[in-house]
This record gives sequence, structure tokens and C-alpha cells, in this order.
Amino acid sequence: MNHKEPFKKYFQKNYDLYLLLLPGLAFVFIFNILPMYGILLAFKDYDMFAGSSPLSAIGASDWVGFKYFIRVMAREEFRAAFGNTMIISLYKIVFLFPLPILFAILLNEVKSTRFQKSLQLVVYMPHFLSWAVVAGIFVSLLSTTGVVNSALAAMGLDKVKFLMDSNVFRKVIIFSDGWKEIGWSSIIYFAAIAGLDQECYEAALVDGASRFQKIWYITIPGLMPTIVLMLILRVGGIMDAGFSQIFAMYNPTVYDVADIIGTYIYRTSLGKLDFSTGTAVGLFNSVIALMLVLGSNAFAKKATGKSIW
Amino acid sequence: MKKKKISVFMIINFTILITLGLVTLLPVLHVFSKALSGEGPVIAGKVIFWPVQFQLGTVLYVLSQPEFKNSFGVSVFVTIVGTLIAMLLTVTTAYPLSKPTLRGRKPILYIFVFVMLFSAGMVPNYILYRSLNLTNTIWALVFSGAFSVYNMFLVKNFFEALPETIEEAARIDGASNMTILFRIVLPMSMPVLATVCLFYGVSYWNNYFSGVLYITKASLKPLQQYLYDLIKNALSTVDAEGVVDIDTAMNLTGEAVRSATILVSTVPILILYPFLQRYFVKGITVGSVKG
Amino acid sequence: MKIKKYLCALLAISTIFSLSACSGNSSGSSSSGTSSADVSSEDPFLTGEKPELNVLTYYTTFDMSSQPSVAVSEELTGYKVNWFNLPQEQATEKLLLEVAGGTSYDLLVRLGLDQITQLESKGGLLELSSYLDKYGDNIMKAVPDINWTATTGTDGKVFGIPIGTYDTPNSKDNLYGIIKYGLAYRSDVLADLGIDVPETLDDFYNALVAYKNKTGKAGFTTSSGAFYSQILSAFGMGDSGWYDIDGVYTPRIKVPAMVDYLAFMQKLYKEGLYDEDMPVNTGSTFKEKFSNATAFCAPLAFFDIPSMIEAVKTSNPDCEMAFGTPLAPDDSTNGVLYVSQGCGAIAAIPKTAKNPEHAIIWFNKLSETDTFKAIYIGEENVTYEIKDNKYYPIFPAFNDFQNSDKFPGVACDGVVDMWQARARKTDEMAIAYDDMNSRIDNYDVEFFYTSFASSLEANMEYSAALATMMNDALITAIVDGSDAQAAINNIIAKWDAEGGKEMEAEMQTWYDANKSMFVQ
Repeated sequence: MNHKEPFKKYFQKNYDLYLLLLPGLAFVFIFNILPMYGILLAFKDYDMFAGSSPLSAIGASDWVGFKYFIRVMAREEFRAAFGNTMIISLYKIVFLFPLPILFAILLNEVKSTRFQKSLQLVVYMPHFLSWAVVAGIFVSLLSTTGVVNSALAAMGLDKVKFLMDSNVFRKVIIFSDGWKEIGWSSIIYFAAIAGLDQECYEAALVDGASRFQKIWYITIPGLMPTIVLMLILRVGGIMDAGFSQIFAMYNPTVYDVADIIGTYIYRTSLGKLDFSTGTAVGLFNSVIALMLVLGSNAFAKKATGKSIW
Repeated sequence: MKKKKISVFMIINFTILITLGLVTLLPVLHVFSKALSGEGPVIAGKVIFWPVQFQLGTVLYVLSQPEFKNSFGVSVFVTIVGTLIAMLLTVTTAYPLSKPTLRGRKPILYIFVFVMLFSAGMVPNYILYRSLNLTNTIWALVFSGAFSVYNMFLVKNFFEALPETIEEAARIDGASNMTILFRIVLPMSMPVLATVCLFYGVSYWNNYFSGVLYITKASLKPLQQYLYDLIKNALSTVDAEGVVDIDTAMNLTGEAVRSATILVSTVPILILYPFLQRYFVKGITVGSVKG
Repeated sequence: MKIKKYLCALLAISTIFSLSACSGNSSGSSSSGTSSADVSSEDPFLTGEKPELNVLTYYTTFDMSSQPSVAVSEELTGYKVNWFNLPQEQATEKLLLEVAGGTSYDLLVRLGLDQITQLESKGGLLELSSYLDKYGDNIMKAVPDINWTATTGTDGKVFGIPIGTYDTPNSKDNLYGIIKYGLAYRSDVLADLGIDVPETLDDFYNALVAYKNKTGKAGFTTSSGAFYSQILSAFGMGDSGWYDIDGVYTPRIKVPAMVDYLAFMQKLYKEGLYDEDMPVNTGSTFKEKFSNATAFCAPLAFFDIPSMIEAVKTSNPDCEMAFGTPLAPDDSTNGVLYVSQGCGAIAAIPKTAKNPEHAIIWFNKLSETDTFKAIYIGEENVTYEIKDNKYYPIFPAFNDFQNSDKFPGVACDGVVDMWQARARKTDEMAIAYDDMNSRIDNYDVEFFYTSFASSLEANMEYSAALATMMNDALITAIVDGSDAQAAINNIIAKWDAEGGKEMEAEMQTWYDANKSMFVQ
């Protein structure tokens, strides 16, 4: 960007913008950036008591380079977990990402605002139940003596071991995640729709546009910036394929398809006091996430002209 | 003719939406029904969508627990104060960054993206709070979570989508950036502000880990940690060696009590949304730009 | 104008920041704490002013400070205590952070042996011998010699006080009360099938087969898990993870009988006698199946009765619960009960403590038998009574003692009988408990001391992850029904590769060094 003005002049005119930025930057500096020093833990044999305080102990601990990274990633189970993480995250994005958008659009088409509001209220409720509770519900529903299997049996079909069959388990994970989060995820799209300029709709009505044309030519393009942003942010979360969910719902018989990085690390570091491995894996996840975010942002810019920055 | 078309679509739409509504409502009803049922039927799995052996006793018992009341109070304070601070920080940061002409915008944005994706983990955060003397204070619960880059991006994104003409008009009239932000941009941004306010509120309310990391005083235990201890406690009474702490095992909370605690902890935050719903009103921008 | 408004907000935020930074209380700053510099011959710690003590303990779902026992304790010891709790998750990490970070606690109480040992290995604990010599007479009297081995380092440094368990006898003279877990049966099904409560493995198997033939359902249900001592007893094993086989201290996965156990469980599963959903069952689901008459047998404890009986009656108001004790191999052989001996919880003093002497004096007082009793179960004929040498609680007075077990000191003589007052909370519980324990003579009882080894290096590093691995692998083997010997061999291979070999070497050394102290 070519700057026609010297910075000093720009600053004088707009110093209040920088003033506005100050609290946020200061906060982030203190609470997010300062602790980043701790990423060094991933490369050290951290002994908390090595210094006079846990902080100085970081500096005093031995430097071990990539030892912890290699140790974790050399294991075959880790690679399997990594694969599962990517697959499950991808499935979730492909199948679940569009749903809240569709829901918001469909609900928007209902004329009665009372119906809209009531349904919104209901649909976002499961988000508030913890996975520990929700898992219990699904276990009851999907067990071999549960409601779903009884219904299948009544229809003359074979019973399905939903939670113990490697071919089915992932689908259960995706379905239950969708169920729990669709309402909640749609809130931002409602907000975006609410912010759309109504004049366009009025003009379209005058021009005789159909319902679907309005959705296709006004609503969706209007939602595009939000959709792109949400997608990029979602991609940034790809390395967590849903730890709380999977931890609450998985069992040894489906480890091969459901064990993700988070759960694998949890199991293998049980009882061990190992800050370094945890930090190393976290760093690994963050680096991949960063690459994906930068990549998808660049792609979005090329494809739609919109991006995060 | 047109009416018929609308009808078919409306019927399908309606059906889909109602189904979705039921499918999401029923499991929640299930949990709430257990909270209002007798312990026996709950254990036996007889409670499905409606209370069996209806009793308010369990809920009243939960409400009367001093530890519950205390944790509830802690979470209410933290949520309200935290959300206020968070909204202030978020809005003041999003606005300048929504101006494409801001000098230094790109590097600053990169910093924020980095912060969003990289976290140093338990130990460094603990060290920081300890150095600031914040451990075992309620402020530890308030500050951890007082700024979410994710939410800031949502707000910035919304600001960017606002028509520029209004701002330009105001600038011509001599308004400063601050005035424009607080007097013009914010009132037009109610939907996203309501959304982000909701996100922060829920995030604070549901926060469990800050209590684990920064607090050892029982009087400062946030609600979610209280709830978690109650539920997890009941789900696993066996440690890795297969040996039980018998007194804990004997005093396990019953299922009905657990469900009642869930109900009482969830209802307040559920109530928040209807209050914010009125801000999701279309057409705030109508009529503000003419000519 | 707007700038003013904005600056006010900025000022407000920065004020909040600075206020919290300056005035925020770091936990554990104890207040008065004075041992006056008076040179009288009296010990100032014993006679002087008593400071407030900051005590850290493990997680509780209730607030320690608001328990009725606090008042009793304060009155009897003269000390006011500020209680702090570790969280349920990541407790050891938090413990280390707090101590390394300089937070001052005067006493750490009821923490795990592995936690205390971790702290000790980092140099975070004080040597206790000198304090115990001066102020710890009750403690020294009450702690059995073998317990001290857990908290004494190889250099002789005593870094912790083993509190002991309150509910387990440590001599074989009085074994009454050791049976707490058994197999619960629905009485209506037993009556229907015309059988008595199964006592041997074959009885058990036949009962399940009869049920399956009659109803087509799986009679035995459990939550997700592989090791059930109620059935292991028929194979000569139990809760213990280690067994002496000709002098070799063997992990349970390598005990030959384990293959037979696995084969038996696989048989139950394959023949549809064992709940298909076992791997996904939670603590609630298997109880559901038992109560709604899908299954009729489940492993439960005597204290599950009050809640379960209500649930069971929803399916059949006439049904009662019959309790079987752990299974015997056959009619002529006794089953085995393995009873865990432990040093239980540990008390220790971190280096950052401000009042170590007072902490020991306080804890010593709590370990004195009369004080202990008053805090733990109260007063005879007021809060509890003794009938036929058995302790029973008196309600409503005993309600105040629901959480009193977190407050006394080292386990004193007769604590096991006292504990039984808590066990006999309701009539049904008391009846079931006493009924189960009337059959003690049918068993061979073995004590195992492995919890003392939990602070050894390889143990701390590997035992939790290995336990999970074995549990998971066995569950998978039960479900897929593959050849039992092959499955066990696979698990053994994993065991060896993931730290098991180190553990075996360590445990053997420990066992050889200490077995002379074990009650045989």
C-alpha cells in the first residue's frame, strides 16, 4: 500500500484509532504474549524446581531440542491418531459446516417471528449440556437394548452396534456433534442476516424475484463474508476434532477409528507429570493450524475476494 | 398460483424445522425430567421425557446447598463483569482494525492470529497469574477469557460490512473516530454485539478450567467446576489401581441430584438468549442512508 | 468530549488492573503467627499464641470450612484452619505449581503417596523427624512400622506421615467387615429360576444359562471394565495387581490363571450371558439394566443398596436384592479375598510452610484417640451406639458426621469398628453389610501392600498408563473372543515394551526387601 502521507501526519489525524487499540493490545500482550515464553518447555526437560521459581526454572532446565516431539510422533498410535484427527475434522467440516447456514436461511423464511424466536430458543439448548451428559444420553439411545435398535428390530432389520462398530462410530460422532451444535452455530448467521440491508430485498420484490432467487442473489452473497470468516476460523480448529466429545463417547473397541491426538495424549500421559510432551504436541497442533489458516485465507482471497485481512 | 408455490415450500420447511426442534428439545427434556423425578425411577431408566414420581424436592435440595449458592454467585459475578470488560476490549480493538487504511494493520492482525492459534499451556499461564498475585482471587477468573480474538474477528468483520456512506457523512460533519464508533457504528451493529455478548457470557459461564488452574479456595470455585466434581465424582469411583476411596464412594451424589444440579446451572444462561433476541432485529440499517 | 468519555473507560480498566495486581491476595499468607522471643523454659510453640494454619487437601465436592467437624476440631485443638483444595483433574501438576511458586501452606493433608513423593523428589518437603520427636507422640504411637517405609527416603529422611485407611483392618485378628463388594442378584429372578444365591463359579454360570434359556436375555451386566474381583476370586486372584508365584513377584497379566479368567469372561460374552454393551456401559447404564429387569446380576457394593432398592422396586415392587459374596472356584475350595493394605493418605509439610511446628502440634492432637473419636464419630449414646460390639449411628445427630472422615488425624486403634458406624447408615445397608461379612470364614484372606510401592520411580512413570492399556486390551479381547492365550500374549508383549519390565524389576526388589514386614 502506497502511503501518500508521512506517518507522523497520519498519526496526528488518527491517533485516537491507536488509542482505541491500546487496551486490547496491552491485554493481549500481558495475558497472551508474555506467557509464550513457556513454549520453550517443549524443547526442555522441564523441572519446575530447578530454579527459585517455576519461571526461572524454565531457563534453568536442560535443553533437549526435539526429543519430546520425536518421542511422541515416532509412535505408530500417534500417527493413527493424527490420521483420525484429520479425517474426523474434515468430515465434520464437510457435513456439519453448511447445516447452520441452511438452518438460518430456512428459519428466516418463516414469516412468524414468534415461531422463529421460539425455535431458536429450543435448538440452541443442547449446546449447554456437557458432553459427559450428552454421551450418557446417546449411550442409552444407541445401546443394543436401546430405543433405536428396538425400532430397527421391530422393522425386521439387523441391530447395529452403533458405539462399538468401527464402521459406524464415526458417523455417530458426526451426527451427535451436529445435533448438539447446529443451533448454537447458527446464531452468528442469524446476526448476519439481521444486518443485511433490507432495501435490496424490497427492490427485488418489486422486480418480481422468487423466494429462491432472493436467497440465491441477496441472502447468500450477503452472508459470504461471514461464511468465509467462519470457515477460515473453523479450519483453524482442525487439530481438535472434538476432544470432550470423543473422550466422553469412545471406548477401546473403536480406538482404531476414533482415537484422536487429544485422547491419545491424554491416555499415555496419565499419571505422568510431563509438561514438555503436552507443550510439544500443542505446538505441533498450533503450527499446523496456522499453516491451514494462512492457506485458506489466501485461497479465500483468490476465490471470493474476501479474507480475514 | 404464487400462493400454492409458497405453500409447498412452507410445508416442507416447516416440517424440517419442527423436526429439528423436537430432536434437540427432547434430550434436554430428558435431563430436566430426571431432575424432577424420584431417585428410583431415574436409576431404573424409567424417566424418558416426563418426570416419574414428580418431586421438586431434589431441585430445592440442590438450591439450598451452600456450596452451590456460593459457586453460583461466583459465576454470576465473573460472567457479568467479565463480559463487560470483554465487550469493551473487543469493540475498541475491532473498530480500528476494520479500517483498511489503518497503518500497521497487517502486522497487528498477524499478531492476533498468532495469539489465537498459539497457547503456551498450563504452566506459563499459572506463572503469569502468580506473578501478578492474581491466584486465588476472583480476578483470575475474570481475566482469563476477557478477550477472544475469535470474537474480535467476528465484530471486525461485521464493522467492515457496514456501508461506508454513513461514516463518511459523519466525518464530513467533523466527527472524530471515537464519536463515530460509539454514536454511529455501535448502534448499527446490535446483532453482532448481541451475538458476541452471548458468546462471552456463555464462555464465562461454562468455564471450568480457570478454576482448576488458579483457585484453591472453595469459596471461589466456579459453578462449572462444582458441577464437574459432582458428576465426574459419580461416574468414576475407581482409580487406576482399582481401589476405591470408600467414603467418597459411599457419599456419591444420586443421579436425580446430578440432573437437578445440571438443570439449575443451565437455566440461567438459557434465559440470557431471549433477552438478547430483540437485537437480532432486521432493518436497523434501513433508512439511515438516503441519497 | 468523547475523548473524555473514552479516557474514563480506559482509566477504569487500568484501575481494575492495578487494583487487582496490588491488592490481590496470594493464597496462603498466614496472618498472626508469632512465637514470641521469650526465653522461658516453656516451649513457645506449645504455650504461645496459636496462628491460623493454611492446610491444603485433595478435592472435595463440599466446602471444608463449612463442615460441622470444623467447630469440633477447633474446640479440641485450639487452632483455626484455612482450608484449600486441589482440583479433581491435574491435581499433581497444580500441587507442584503451588509449592514451586512459593504459595505457603503449613500442611498438605490426605494427598496421594505418589504426589507427595513427586514433591519430595524435587526437594519440596521438610524433614519431619525433629518435629515428630518433639511434638508428634500420638502420631508415632499410631503409625504402624511398615507404614513408615512408604514415607521414609533411602537416606532415612522422613518426608511424610502416613495417615492410614480408616476402613481396613491391618491385622488378621479381626477381619470382620472386609467384604464390601459383592454380586447383587434380583430375588425375583432367583425365585423364578428356583436357585439360591450362587457361591461357586459353576453355580454362577449355570444361573446365567438358566436365565438365558428362560428369557433369552443376558443376565450379567457391568459397567465398562475388565477386572472384577468378585469373579477373580474364583481364579485365585483379586484386587491386587501383583502376586507372589514361587517368590517371583508377578504382575497379574502374567499370572497363568489370568488366561483362564479371560477365557471364562469371553465364554460369558460369546454365549450371550454377559451384557453385549459392556464396553460402552457407564456407571448408570448397567444399574438401569439391573433395575429394569433386563439383567439380574451385577457387581455392586453394600452401600449401593438404598438407591438401588428403590430403583429395583419400580420394575417389581416385590423384588428384593440378594447379595452374593465373591465366587469360589468350586464347592471344596475357598475363594480368595485380597485386601489392600495401604498407608492411605499422606500428610506432609512443604518447604514454604510458615508454621511447621504448629502444623505438627495440630495434627498430633488430631491423632490422639479421644480427639480422633470425637471428631470422627462423636459421643457414645449421643451420636452413635454400640450393640453386640457393633457400632451403629444415631440419627439425626450423626448427619453432622457425613464428611467427618476428612478431619481426624492418623488412624488410631479401633478405627475400623468406628468406620462401621458410618457404613451402617441405613438398616438395609447394615443388614447387607453384616450378612456379607458373616461369610468371611469361607475365604482365604490375603493382604497386599502394593500401594506402598506407588511412589517408586517406575511405578510413578508407568503404572497408570499400563493399567489403562491392560484394561482396554482385555475389554477388546472379551468382545472379539479371540484365543485367550494369544490375546494375553499380545498384552504381555505390550506390557514389556511400555515400561512393564522396569516395573517388574522394581517391584521384585521392593518385595524382597519388605516382605518380612507383611502380615502373611
